[in-house]
Amino acid sequence: MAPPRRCSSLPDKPIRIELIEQTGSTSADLLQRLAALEPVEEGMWLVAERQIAGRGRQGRSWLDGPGNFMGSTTVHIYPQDPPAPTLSFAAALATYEAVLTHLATPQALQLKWPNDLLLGGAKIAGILLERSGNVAVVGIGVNLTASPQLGDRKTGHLAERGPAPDRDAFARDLAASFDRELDRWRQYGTEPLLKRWLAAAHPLGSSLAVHNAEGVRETGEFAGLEPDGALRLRLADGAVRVVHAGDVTIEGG
Amino acid sequence: MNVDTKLVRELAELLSETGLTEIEVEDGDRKIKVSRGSVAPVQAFAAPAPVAAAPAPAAAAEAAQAAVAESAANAIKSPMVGTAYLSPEPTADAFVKVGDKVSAGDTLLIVEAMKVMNPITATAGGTVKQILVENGQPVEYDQPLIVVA
Repeated sequence: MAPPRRCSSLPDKPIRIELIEQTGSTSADLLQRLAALEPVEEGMWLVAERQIAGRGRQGRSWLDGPGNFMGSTTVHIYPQDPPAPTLSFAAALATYEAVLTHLATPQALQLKWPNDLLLGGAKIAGILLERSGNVAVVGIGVNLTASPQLGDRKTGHLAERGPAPDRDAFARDLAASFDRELDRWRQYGTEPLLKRWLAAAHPLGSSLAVHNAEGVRETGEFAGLEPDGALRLRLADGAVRVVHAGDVTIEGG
Repeated sequence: MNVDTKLVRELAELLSETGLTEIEVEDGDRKIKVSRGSVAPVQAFAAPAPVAAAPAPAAAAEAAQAAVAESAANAIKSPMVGTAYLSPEPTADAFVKVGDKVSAGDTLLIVEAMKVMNPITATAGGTVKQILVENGQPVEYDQPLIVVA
């Protein structure tokens, strides 16, 4: 018997994309709606033409560009769902798959822990998740037509490798792949998710550097993931550092 | 690391002898703080994770958990392993400081795990009595973070 498409307890989620001209941050907007107890159902995406205060990790901004994808959606976390932090990997795979279908050079696409998307080593997409009660707001930015020039990190965009996908078409693809990954996350849990993530990520043994919030930088080899998705970094002395939060860079990549 | 119970005991004795409320000693990557009061009489925790000693912070955190949990039973605990942030971004003011009045639902700090930002909110209104973690500190599951009473 084929497994059911969805958990039977969950209502069907029609995909709906709400497009707005300009906003500070689509994630901030959804968090605000949640705080105001407005209904924000799964499957709804808020996509901005322009975003003037896009947010990244540690107070960094996410710079927009016309024609790029900037949008947010929500996941309602039920008691029987896998641990919420693993949603990071489901969102990463959904973005990876959506970009892959628009790429003539799929081998150049790589995930970086936990959910950055690199094209030829340059960052083309970023994802940040923010919890509000039992809801996770998932914000995703994908450089389709343009990328900001940042001093400290390589950035890229899809148009460098061929025709850039239409933003609206990409939004529909991403919403569909996200919906699929969310179903898999709920049905099959984290183990197959992390295996599939590993298959699309920097290979085992890759040289990585991790910067943590205390300003400590450590380098080592990528030694896979913990069952909860934490990064395993094998240090020069053979010890394995388990990282739950930090900035990862691929060394010499 | 192993918690040096003898040292903790000595410090505790010193504490009552001197009438101080708190003594903190630091030795390399190990830091022990003994304090008294209604909230957290004994604490032991690791200094920011040292570069070379991999297993130590986890063990230290567990010890810290055991030591603090007993006395800070009413502390709000971390729902996950991650990194604690006391402010919304590095340059911003802290969400709260000791002595602040808070209402139920107010964000007190954030715990990040795998780029998921989890606001830790006040479960009830009250006053911030104690903040048990530092900004950017790794935290364990169930580790007491903050006391609101």
